[in-house]
Formats: sequence, structure tokens, C-alpha cells
Amino acid sequence: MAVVNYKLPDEILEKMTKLGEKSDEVIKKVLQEGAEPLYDVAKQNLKDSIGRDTKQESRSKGDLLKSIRITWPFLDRNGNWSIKVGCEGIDSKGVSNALKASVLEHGKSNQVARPWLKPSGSKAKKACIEKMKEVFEAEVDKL
Amino acid sequence: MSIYELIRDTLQSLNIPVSINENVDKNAVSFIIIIPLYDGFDVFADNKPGIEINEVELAIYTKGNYLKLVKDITDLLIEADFTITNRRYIEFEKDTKLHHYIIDVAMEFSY
Repeated sequence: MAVVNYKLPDEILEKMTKLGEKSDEVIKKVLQEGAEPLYDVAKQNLKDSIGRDTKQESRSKGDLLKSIRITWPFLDRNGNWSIKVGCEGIDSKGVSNALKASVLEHGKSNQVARPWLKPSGSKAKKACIEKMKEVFEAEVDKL
Repeated sequence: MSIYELIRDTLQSLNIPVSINENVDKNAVSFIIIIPLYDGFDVFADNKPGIEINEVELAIYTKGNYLKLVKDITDLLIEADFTITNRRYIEFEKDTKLHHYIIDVAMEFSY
């Protein structure tokens, strides 16, 4: 009976070993750059949502728009690397920006909802995946 | 049939006001407002979209036991083949005594 052996080229084996060693570093970079399309879309949507169709003239000072951030990559409770886009901190009047962003997103019984975050996720999903692929391939090529 | 008509038909048996805009009877014990989230195309062939995806948020307001109502709504939505992408309790509104709960649903339509 014929016996066939397959051997991977040394270069690929070395790259795979290096990728294993540097996986956390590569994942962090992929997430940070991959979140950028979502950040751009979310910021634009938030800008459009603030003060839209309000009963009274908007008195926005721009604190909420300035508070939107991409977090540092973090390990979640399942041990997976994650990253988030959202509003943080408090505004000039001491009100939580996350609370204001939530009221804007979901509304109240007497206040119209102006969703900005969830539509951003759906709209930017493909762009984020493509960006992550691009960054991952670039990082692998550098190994 | 649009996603809004489908949701209205699906939840008809609950006898709760359902509206896409704010013109809903807010004096009712429970009411539901449909909030459009996202409309997008997917699965392209010959430079034409094959599927349209509609996502909406159902904002459920109730003065009663929200747990039973949410379970009934969820069961009806699943039975009608909606995809539930998120369910979350938002808050208890002290001024109106209403519980606010959201269910995000998505549905694919051939285009």
C-alpha cells in the first residue's frame, strides 16, 4: 500500500507558531480597528437623533455627542475578547451620558424614541467584519 | 404584507393597542409602540437584492404584571416565525406607573 506524507512548509509552521504566541496582541488590534466603522456610523446617527423633532427647541450643548467612545478591548466573563462603542461619563450638569443615550434610544411613554445605536450596529456590521478581516490579514503578513 | 401589519395581526389576540406612531391610547393598562430600527437588503444575485431584512423594536408599556404579558407576546412572536434579537427591561416610570420593556424583532422578506 502506498504511503503519502504531507509536510507543511517551515515558513507557514513558523507563522502559525508566532500567531499563537501573539494572538492576544493581534486580536486587540483587530478589534480596535474593526470597531471604527461602527464608531463612525454611531456618532453620525447620534448626531442626527439629538434634538430631532423635539416639541421645544433643542438645548443640546453637545456633551452627549462628545462622550461617545470605543472602549479598550476587554476579556468578557466567557473568556472572549470584546470591545464596545457607547457613551460614558457625566455631562456638564452631572447627568449620566449613558442614561441620556438610553432614553434617546428607547424613549419613554411620553417621549418619542430616536434609536441610534441599534440601527448603527446593523448598518455597520458588514463594514466592521471587512475591516477586521483586512487588519487580521495585514497582521498575519507582518509575522 | 409589511412587518408592521404582521406584528399587529400576530398580537391581535391580546387586545392591546399596537401602533407604529405615538397616537396610541396611553390611558390603556397596556400598550405597545412599534419603533422602526433598520431596513436593509441582503443576499444579492445579478446585482439585485434577494432578501429584505426589517428590524423593529416593540416598546411594551404596562401597569400590570409585565412578566406574563412579555411571555405571551414572546410566545406569539415565536409562533409567527419572528426572530427575537433582544429582550430587556428598561425601567419603571415613577410618574406614569408604567413598566417599560422592549423586544427587538427581525423578519426576512423575499424581495
